[in-house]
Amino acid sequence: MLGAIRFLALSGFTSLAALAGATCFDLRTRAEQLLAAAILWAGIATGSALLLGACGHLNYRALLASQIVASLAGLAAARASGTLRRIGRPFRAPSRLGGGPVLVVAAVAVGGAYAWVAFLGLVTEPFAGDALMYHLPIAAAYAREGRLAVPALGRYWNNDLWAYYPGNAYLLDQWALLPFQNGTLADLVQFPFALGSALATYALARRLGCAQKGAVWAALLFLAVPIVVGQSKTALVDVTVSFLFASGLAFSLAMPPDTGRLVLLAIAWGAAPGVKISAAAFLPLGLACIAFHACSELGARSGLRAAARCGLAAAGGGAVFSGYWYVRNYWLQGHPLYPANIVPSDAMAWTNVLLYGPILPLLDLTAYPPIFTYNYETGAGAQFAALALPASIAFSAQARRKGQLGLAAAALLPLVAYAFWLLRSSRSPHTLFRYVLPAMPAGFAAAGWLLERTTRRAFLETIALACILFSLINAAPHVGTFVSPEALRAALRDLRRGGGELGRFYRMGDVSLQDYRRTWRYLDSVPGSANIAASHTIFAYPMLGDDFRHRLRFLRPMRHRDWLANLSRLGIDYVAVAQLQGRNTRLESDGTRLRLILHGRNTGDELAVAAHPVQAVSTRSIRVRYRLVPAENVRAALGVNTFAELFELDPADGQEATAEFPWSGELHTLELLLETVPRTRAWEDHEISVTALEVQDAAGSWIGVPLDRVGSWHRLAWPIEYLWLQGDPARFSLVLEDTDFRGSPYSGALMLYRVLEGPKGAAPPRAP
Amino acid sequence: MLRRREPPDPWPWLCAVLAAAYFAVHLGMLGRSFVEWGGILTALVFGR
Repeated sequence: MLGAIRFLALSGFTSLAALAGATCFDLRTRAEQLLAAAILWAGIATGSALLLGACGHLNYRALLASQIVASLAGLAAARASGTLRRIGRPFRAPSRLGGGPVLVVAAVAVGGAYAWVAFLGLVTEPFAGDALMYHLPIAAAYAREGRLAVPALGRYWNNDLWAYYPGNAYLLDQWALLPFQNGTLADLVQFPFALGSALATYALARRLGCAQKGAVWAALLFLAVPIVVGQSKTALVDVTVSFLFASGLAFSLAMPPDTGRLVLLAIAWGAAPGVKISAAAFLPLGLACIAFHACSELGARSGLRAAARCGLAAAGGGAVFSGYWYVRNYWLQGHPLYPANIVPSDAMAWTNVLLYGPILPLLDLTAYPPIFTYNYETGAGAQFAALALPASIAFSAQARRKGQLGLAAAALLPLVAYAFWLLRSSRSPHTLFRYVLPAMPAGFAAAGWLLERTTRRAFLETIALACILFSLINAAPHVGTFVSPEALRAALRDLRRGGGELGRFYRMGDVSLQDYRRTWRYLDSVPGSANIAASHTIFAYPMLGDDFRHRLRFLRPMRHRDWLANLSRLGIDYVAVAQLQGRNTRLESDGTRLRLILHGRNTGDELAVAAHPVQAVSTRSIRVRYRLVPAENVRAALGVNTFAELFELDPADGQEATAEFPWSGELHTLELLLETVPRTRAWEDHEISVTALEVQDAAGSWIGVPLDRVGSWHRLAWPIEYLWLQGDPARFSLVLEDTDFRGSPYSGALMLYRVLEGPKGAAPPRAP
Repeated sequence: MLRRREPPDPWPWLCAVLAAAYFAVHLGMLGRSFVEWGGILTALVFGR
């Protein structure tokens, strides 16, 4: 209850400051005034938290005091400009829309879906891999440390570069985290920005010439985009970027730009690169639209001058709101764009670009494999393929005929952004559309225009309603549940019966993560602040405890003696390692036969392996190649997801063999049986590696590839480099408690060891 | 009296074709979702 009051107080003062400040701008409509308030909200919050964080005073009291000061300043400014009475203008009852029953059904469906999302956000815990791995740990580190810390993370995709990502979104997250001092609202941090993006879509549609009804359709189409629905209960950043870019675009398409609009543009586009590095790619596109628009409205000379003013405003805003992160990374890592500067760019997958590119919006990569429906990074929705893209072309052609080059260019943004990101991320088509998201409001604004202008309005509205319903029916059931609707049903069943408590990391997610969840609940009950060492990929956020009091450290793989010395030097209380070998784990052997147990998904009649460094494997069969190479102290482990059926391999004579297995197309837990021939030595003395086909010229994780595109062989990430950690736990003299957790699709079983000789005194409870 | 003939408007038909193609590709998923909604509503209302 106290947390809710603190939350309402903090958000209330920021909102008051933003609403009062927005009255000072000369804006045409109530929607624009509300959108201006939303931008000011983001600007005030980002600016104040950035300043406090840089000074090491990012805590609730200081933040609340800063928002009180901001609200007083906003009220004073509104009073001085004589506009204070307009503060309630955006909330006056709207005039009758006359939308008709189809629009009403669409609005009710979208409203219901978001009510469901909000409900899930309140009663369930975060469960998006990216959020648990780095988004939330960074936000939690700010909240715990009171400064803009670079936290240690669990190794994710074999690196920890994520800790250096710009943190404006994590500053905004503090409005949800600090009042509660825990993650109660952590999963809903993007919810208001989804609504803000819809408002920006509405304003953009009005700017393109829509009446209210068409603009409402545009906003509803955007809100029903499955990625937006999914991310509204996920602490990622794509929807936040979408809000900032689209709202800046909506204001900058009014010519000539007055000072107020330049300020709003500076805040919105200035803050965006501090939320996500890739947001910077949209700014030149947006500025090009502004330049075209200004030149067509004001003439070449005045237009270029106006566009230059907009560019300067965006650059100035970028320096104020985002500059800190790039200067910090230059200071710490020697390059302002770190880590983007060290990530090697993938070779172009021309098959994806040329063969699949034209139909990717239709495929949407959500039906592949069948068990995988929309989640927080997939699903542009039927409305993007069927309405936004054709409407962009239709509007653009019409605007070009009228000489409105800037509006024509703005409407084409979704197509241009799609083409750009398809080329940029040609090997990751399954996650492509969330990068296009900031450009989608322009497409849906064009769709709103088309809905109004068409001669077959009822027909097109029915199509729009069908698209919205289809997206919502697919996206909403398992928002935030990752891939397991069964877990959601179980949680709701318990909730309805009143039998269970809403435990942290207890209810949601893939059921195969139960052992991880046991670990997290155990850490929640550990008193005091513990230092936890991880040595490979783990979900970092839950390790911090429910109030982020624990600290996570990453220990690089090293020699056993050095590892023990580091445990002591760093005061490590717990060690979390993967346990991939041994009784009841994924790998079993009786000395001559080796059994691997893997989890995975299929793609119908195709087979997919998603594992680093293999980008994709897709054939009608799986080829598993294994080698037996003598190596010391190596036990087998396989820390990847892969997919196959039960195979039994009788290898050819010799040290190396290749076999091709049939693929049935069913979903299985894989049990791969590798049987060593009698003449080879016992498997314990050998390195055993599974290799898979990499397709050179195609495919992200989940899309089919013609067989003739198959390129080279690659070894999967097995055995992992620090495999010695998988040895007999008894070797670790400091380790006492083997809680025998096991069973995760991310990194094998998780074992939590308590370090006895750690400096902390309080004895933790026994693990469940 | 002559009636003014409306110019052809191909866009709704293009949208319809694209929507139909999208639905066709994803129809299996839609079926799954209905099943999921059924399970969810059952769990919410009846607690089982």
